[in-house]
Amino acid sequence: MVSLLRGSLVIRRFFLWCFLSALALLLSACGEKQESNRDWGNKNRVLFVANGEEPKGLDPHLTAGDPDRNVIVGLFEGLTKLHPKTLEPGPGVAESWTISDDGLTYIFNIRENARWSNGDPLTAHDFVWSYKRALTPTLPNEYAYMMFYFKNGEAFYTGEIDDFSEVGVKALNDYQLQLELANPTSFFLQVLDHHSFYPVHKATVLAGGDLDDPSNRWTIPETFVGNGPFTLKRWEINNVIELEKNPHFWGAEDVWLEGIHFYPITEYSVEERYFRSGKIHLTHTPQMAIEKIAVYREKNPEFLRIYPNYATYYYSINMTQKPFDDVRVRKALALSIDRKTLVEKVTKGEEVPAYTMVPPDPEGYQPKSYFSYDPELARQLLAEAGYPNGEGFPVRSVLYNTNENHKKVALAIQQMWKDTLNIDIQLENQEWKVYLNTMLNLHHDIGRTGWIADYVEPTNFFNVLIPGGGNNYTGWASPEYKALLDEINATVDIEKRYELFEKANKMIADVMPLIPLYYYSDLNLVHTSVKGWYSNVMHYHRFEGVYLEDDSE
Amino acid sequence: MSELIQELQQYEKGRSLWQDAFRRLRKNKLAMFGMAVLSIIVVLALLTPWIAPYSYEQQDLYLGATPPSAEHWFGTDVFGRDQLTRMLYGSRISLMVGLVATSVALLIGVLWGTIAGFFGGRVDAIMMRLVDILYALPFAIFIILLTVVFGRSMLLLFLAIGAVEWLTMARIVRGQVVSLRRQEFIEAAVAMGLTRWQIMQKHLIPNVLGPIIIYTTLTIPSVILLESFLSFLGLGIQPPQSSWGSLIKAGVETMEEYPWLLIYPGILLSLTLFSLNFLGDGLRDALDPRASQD
Repeated sequence: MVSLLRGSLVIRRFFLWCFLSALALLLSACGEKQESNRDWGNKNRVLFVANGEEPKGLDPHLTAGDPDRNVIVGLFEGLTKLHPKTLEPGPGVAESWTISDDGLTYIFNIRENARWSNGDPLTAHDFVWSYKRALTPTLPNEYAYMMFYFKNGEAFYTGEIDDFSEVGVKALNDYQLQLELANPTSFFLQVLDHHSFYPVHKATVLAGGDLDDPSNRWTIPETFVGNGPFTLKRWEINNVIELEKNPHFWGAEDVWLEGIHFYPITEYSVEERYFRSGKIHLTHTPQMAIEKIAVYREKNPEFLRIYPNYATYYYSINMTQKPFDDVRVRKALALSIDRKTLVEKVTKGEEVPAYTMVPPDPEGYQPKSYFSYDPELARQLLAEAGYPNGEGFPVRSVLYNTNENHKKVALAIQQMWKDTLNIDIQLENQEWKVYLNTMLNLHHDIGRTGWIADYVEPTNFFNVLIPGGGNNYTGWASPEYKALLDEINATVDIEKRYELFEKANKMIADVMPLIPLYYYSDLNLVHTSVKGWYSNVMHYHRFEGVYLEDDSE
Repeated sequence: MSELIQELQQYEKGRSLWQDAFRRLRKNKLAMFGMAVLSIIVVLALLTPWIAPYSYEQQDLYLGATPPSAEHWFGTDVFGRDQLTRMLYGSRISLMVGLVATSVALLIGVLWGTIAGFFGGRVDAIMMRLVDILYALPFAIFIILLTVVFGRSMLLLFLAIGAVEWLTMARIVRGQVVSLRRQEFIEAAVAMGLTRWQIMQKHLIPNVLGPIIIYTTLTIPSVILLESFLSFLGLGIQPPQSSWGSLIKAGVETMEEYPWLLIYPGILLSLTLFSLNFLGDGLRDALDPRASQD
């Protein structure tokens, strides 16, 4: 038989390997003077960004996730645009607007120099068509309920009326758009910068498929048309999304950046290494590698940005199945989590323990907590539900999207439930898109969820639990809750609204369809060469005002 | 009658070949070292529930990650869990995955390769094209499909890994068998009227044992690492259970802050892999004296 391997080959191979790795180390040491992405970007006006998961899609009417939104704000622009720092709504595609005295009718004057990225003029009719698409019930738009602010918006969505012209969206002429609302909504101008209100290019969308085709592929670089400061240049799945400056953008002169590269990096530890080695300018994910926070705080505080977020991290309970159909079980789970330990010892990023779905707004509504960490009561509730000392409790699992921070939180909570209630909950992780699908179809038991505000107003959080809503991962469908939300929407008086908020907040605490865990902190690594990028409570970052200035010498 | 005696004698000689091999193996110091280390690790893994100093899942969040000390010989991880205990429990899973999945690969691969190589012709063509097709199937998709259909379980993990790893094995064995088939001793066996199955079993498989053993010792480590990749995808073991792969992965994430979380599992894994390689090398030398003479 042929001698496949010599006796000492393993050892020889080992030495060869040692030699090669030493060589590689030497070479990489020599190559260190090579220009990093960051230096190259500073010179060539290109921003490098770590963006978490690979986006599910770039169609503004078909996305829900934070990674998707980060890219979409570069590609599109709404009627209004929030200030990157203060979040005050200012002019976007509309250069001015008038609001009727009753607060119900808005007339927007669209810039006459507004263009699509292919040079086509952008008119009021484009907005009418886009809003119609976003409201089409057969299009699986998870944010369709955002359109219910329009007069008859909900009726159109539920099929009560078929004629879109009855909905309060009308083009008065090419450059004037009239929006009629169902109720006076004080924060409506802010809402308009949400991606579900961004316009899409009719001819491009229809060339890719039907109006309500969710698998429409018009967002590939070859056909993509947007109206934002940037346009899509290259999209390699799981590798990079490249944006380049859109020369047709009305404000193109003031856009400093020539391009943005988004890297999908799922792991925070990898992201941090990218940052340290100069591959990226900033991390665009809402969290970061936990153990690195203390390191940066001590050694490089100039790169670390921690900012309280108007956002909640919570566990959605699938209430449609046993044993979670019993409110006592849900409460027992919620009461047995020591949130203070969780944020201090596990997440470590200045997060705040949460007992309500809606985060407190420093300048507005302060929700009351209706429960606290109470292991004794939790055990009692579980016993009343028929599982004394956890006996007979079926095996259920917590689902999270693959990520080390979510895993850490889940591990700690798994142990807290074990210690307090003596129940075994398993952990299960899925890739981002699979996870979103599982949650949407209620195939989970308990699912990790985070909600980052789309506009700073409590209804944004209350609306998540709207019966049948695309972001409601609990299966809770209460008509009373829906009626309460309608009442809130119809109420203008601030005091009265706060009362109704509190009523909704209490209703959620009584039913406990979800377990609030903590209010997020926005944790970003931002290189000092990045200017014009601000932390804000909404984790909302547009790029047209960003510029790069190498001050490191 | 004399034929029978001859055959019996041959059989006797065959047995003593094994004894010869073992004698040669014992002289190989590296191989014996590998065997000793492996035995220690296996014994420790088997005894884990009785000797582990702590529980592998009990957290102490206020303790957090601490460097090695008298209470925790290998330190604790970020949840305050004892690293030594987690490594011991991890060996159980990693060794089990390594052994079971490799056995599955071995069983299918050797049978498949021998049959294809021995029969040749159309049988060979069909069988090996099937291997080619399975080779072309992306591994991750295949595993995900399996878990979607059958749900998640340890058994499935073993089967899935084994079902993929046997392909290379089948090719190696087939190549060897094809070259052996034309040799005189096989012709002699045919002339003596042995059935095909007997020839395969008694003459072919023992003669391809060398490459099989080497490839097996190479498969076990790759399977152990594969397990951690699958766990990361959410298909393998799930926390709070540990395996070497998952411990190393967690260690890499925090290697600058808590190096002991990477170093100790890393040493354990490398030690096992080296031992396996030494042992495999020694076994091949022992079983095939011709190779070691040249």
